[in-house]
Amino acid sequence: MGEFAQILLNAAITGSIYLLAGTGLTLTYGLLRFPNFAYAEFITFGGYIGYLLLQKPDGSLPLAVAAAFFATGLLSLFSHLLCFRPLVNRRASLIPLMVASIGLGYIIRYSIGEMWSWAALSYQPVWQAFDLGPVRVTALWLYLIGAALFTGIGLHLLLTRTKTGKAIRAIAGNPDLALVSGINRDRITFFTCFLGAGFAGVAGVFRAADTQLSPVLGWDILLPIFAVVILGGIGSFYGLIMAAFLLGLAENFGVILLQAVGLSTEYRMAIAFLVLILVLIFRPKGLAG
Amino acid sequence: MAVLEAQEVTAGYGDAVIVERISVKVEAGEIVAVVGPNGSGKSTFLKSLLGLVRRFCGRILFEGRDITAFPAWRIARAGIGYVPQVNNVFPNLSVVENLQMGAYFRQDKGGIQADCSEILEMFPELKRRSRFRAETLSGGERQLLAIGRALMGRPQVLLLDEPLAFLSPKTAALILRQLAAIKERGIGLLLVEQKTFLALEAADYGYLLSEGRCLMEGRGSALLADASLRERFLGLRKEV
Repeated sequence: MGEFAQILLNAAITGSIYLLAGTGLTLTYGLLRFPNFAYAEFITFGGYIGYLLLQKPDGSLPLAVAAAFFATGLLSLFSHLLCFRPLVNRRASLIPLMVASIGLGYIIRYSIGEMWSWAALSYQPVWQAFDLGPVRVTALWLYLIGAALFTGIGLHLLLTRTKTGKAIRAIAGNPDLALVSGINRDRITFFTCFLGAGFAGVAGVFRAADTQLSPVLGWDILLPIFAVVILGGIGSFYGLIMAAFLLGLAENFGVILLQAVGLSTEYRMAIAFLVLILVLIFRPKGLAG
Repeated sequence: MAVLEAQEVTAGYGDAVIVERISVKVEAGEIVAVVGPNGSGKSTFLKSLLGLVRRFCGRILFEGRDITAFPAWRIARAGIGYVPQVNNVFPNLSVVENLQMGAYFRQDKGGIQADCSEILEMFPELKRRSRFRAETLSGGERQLLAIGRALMGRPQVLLLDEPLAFLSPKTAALILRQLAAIKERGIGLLLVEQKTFLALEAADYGYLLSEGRCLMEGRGSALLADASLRERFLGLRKEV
């Protein structure tokens, strides 16, 4: 019983990271119609911004999360203005935009490696585990799940109750009609780029606090994040929420399964792709499609 | 002064010129029809007024003001509504949300709500389905929603791209009645239409386009009566 509850908790933790990291990817895909690979480095960048505030034992996690959100949001806004927007305005198709995002990601990753360090770093506050009912938790995990809940509910309200949120959905559904309805597409895109990458930066702080910080922090989890985004039906926020926790469950149950048959838990990444392939065979457009 | 005036507009895609030196005027409370065979450049001309295709030369005046250089979203805010022929709704938004998006740039919350209710009263077909996503609507219902969405911006002039295409005669008649009602509110209408007879019958003034040029213009009834037009473009048979 306790073990089962622990697996569910671990699934929620994995799913929360995927949700935070995948939100921006799926929202900006809806607006700009290309998968932005630089999101890997947005996650990493957030982790390093967090490190600035959490390298001492008395660092404040909420402050680090807020700083990572704003700094990563700004980084994304600059990369949109300097790199993606000029390409979009010249009517670049998916492949050039995607390759540009991979290139931009490399630039950010190597800049981080040179500026900070290529060696793995650790956040200073060590999170003590304690018993909470049948499971062992750390305060970090509770913060992480709280942040994911806040993001999920907050974005739901934004997308369904506010004019800006409805405009984000309108542009994703019919970009030309949005334009002739008087929606300033540029302004909405700026906002979405900032917001989405901000959440990715927050994911970076939590991921680094839970594991280690290195310039490949985001790159290492980019593939499962893409799996989640595709699984959810790329561009669909609600599909993303479902897929994030589904994959979290699959990975954490899969790890138990791997151990039971005597295989290395290194294979846990393969589980994500097994689930992805199975779902896509039966629902090619993803869960929400 | 005309609400909307295109002066010698030449436009197209990339380097290709599709329409050449077209001049059109729309007055308040008037229906103007641009007719012509398939591929004559009618839709391209309409899109050139909205900044959606490349313009090589010519000027576009809205209430006497030069709006040629405006981006599409500012043209909409100036008071020009547009109803595209296809992809004319936000499929992933509900009927009500579609209408709200038409009023995106308006600040008067109360007025927006009142207009939304008024349009739903005007189109009972939409009121019944106001909470449904637009992708669940029929072609005729989408056309009504597209017109409603455009009206939500309180336009001075409404541009419609083949509003009667793909519709049953019954639905086409319904749309034409609605257009007449919109005209009564003092809004100018510019419609591009392949159903030449229906369009010219409803129109106060008409233009005939062929191969990207304006061949003829005149009062709707006069164009309908023109023998050469009847012979060359209408095949003398009244289409419904």
